[in-house]
Amino acid sequence: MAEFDASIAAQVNRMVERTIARSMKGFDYIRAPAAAVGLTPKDVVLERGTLRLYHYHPQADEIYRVPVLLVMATTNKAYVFDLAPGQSMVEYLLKRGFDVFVLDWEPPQQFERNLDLSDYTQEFIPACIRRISELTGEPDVSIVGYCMGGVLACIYAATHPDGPLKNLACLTTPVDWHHMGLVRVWQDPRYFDVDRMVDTLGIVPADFILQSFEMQRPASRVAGQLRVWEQMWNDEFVKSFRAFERWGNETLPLAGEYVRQMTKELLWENKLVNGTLVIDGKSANLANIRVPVLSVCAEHDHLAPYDSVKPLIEKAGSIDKRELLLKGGHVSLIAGPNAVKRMWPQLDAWLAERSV
Amino acid sequence: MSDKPQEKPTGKPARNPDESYREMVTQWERNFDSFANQFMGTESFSRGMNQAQDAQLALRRTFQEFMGKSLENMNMPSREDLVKVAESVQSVDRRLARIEDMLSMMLSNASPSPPPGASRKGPPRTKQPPKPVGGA
Repeated sequence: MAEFDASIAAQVNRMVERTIARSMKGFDYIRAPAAAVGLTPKDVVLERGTLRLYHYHPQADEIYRVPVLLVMATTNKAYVFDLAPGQSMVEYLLKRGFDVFVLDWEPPQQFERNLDLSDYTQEFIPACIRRISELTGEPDVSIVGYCMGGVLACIYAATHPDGPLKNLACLTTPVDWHHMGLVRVWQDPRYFDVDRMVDTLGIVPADFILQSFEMQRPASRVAGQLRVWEQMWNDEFVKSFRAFERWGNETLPLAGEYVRQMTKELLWENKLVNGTLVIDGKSANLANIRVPVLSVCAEHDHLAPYDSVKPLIEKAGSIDKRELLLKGGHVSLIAGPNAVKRMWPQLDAWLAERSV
Repeated sequence: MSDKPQEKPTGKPARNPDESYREMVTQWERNFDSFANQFMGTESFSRGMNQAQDAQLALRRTFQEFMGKSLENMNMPSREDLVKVAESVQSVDRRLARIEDMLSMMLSNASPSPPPGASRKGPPRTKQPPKPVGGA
């Protein structure tokens, strides 16, 4: 009975402590400026319109021969790869001995409204690879693409079967767009007039993109606030939450032509998985990919469901190919405390063997 | 201070109020999302949402046309005119970028390439993957 009383007393004590901490830190939370993100030292080594290529300063005394290019999804900023010290995939890879480059996107301007898949995969990615080769002196490069960045990387790999790509890792990369869940219902060709939208807007606004993400999990914003209130005493949790929240809110607008092409050719006609996608007169059939491929999927991914990601490994023409299905969601797969334990070490091990 | 659930004398874990709160939030989120997705995943929702969006776009288009004509009457450039100027600047920019790329390719072809693994600057590119633990 005395033990029971002590346990109750300890719980009450903890509740009181946390309630006080919540009240005190709650004010700081409201007043605090935006979370500092993307702090790992880097240089901008290429700027071209919407494109930014960063080179991160190596953090190991000896590095792998093959540099790594992380290709960010066109809808969000790449600092999700570098949220905060200790929670940064870039920092992790640097410490593990990789030479890391990141392809990031700035919001496209009205004059860039005509950018399409061809610009992203036949001009931007090759320009980055050429720059990396100049800087490193190495003839080849590994690409790690996240979400739509993975789709761009796949199209690049399929249209450049003779290199200079060395390895391709795709993180939550949808290739079978007929399994895209709610997006497919909302963009039903009978009701969604993509031509009218693109012709009227030119650039599809960030609000539209953010809404289409949030509508798939409409309770997540409120639930997030309820969780952070409960964890207000926990500085690490709050820091991480604020970085994620900032990243989620900084959704990017998209070039209209790019959206038109994605909607018609990928979502409606499913050309990527059917092998009928042609970019600049070149076949983007996934069977053309010959380099080692790693496809990482998240069990609870609502944006790129497993069924949309799964066919990549089946369709890729590579001999050396591997699928990894990990616990987590679309974002927690690549960033946050679970990614540190689950995905990053696997990516490190896979790349390390193939980067000499 | 531990976050582990405390044990009752009966051996069953005591309900930690923080944990109960977290579970409640997670459950509420799951239920709400599931309910909303059922509703938003219907054809009628998609039709309604797109009709509302079309109406918004039509309004925007009318306003754009009105503004365009007004600016034209005032002999002032419209946003569309400025975008066209920016597009032609961008096209020159891209041509320059292509020329730069060609020049750098020509230069790199002309200069002897360093041996594989020899880094131009920075740490040596000689790292080997760790040997598998317990491997032969």
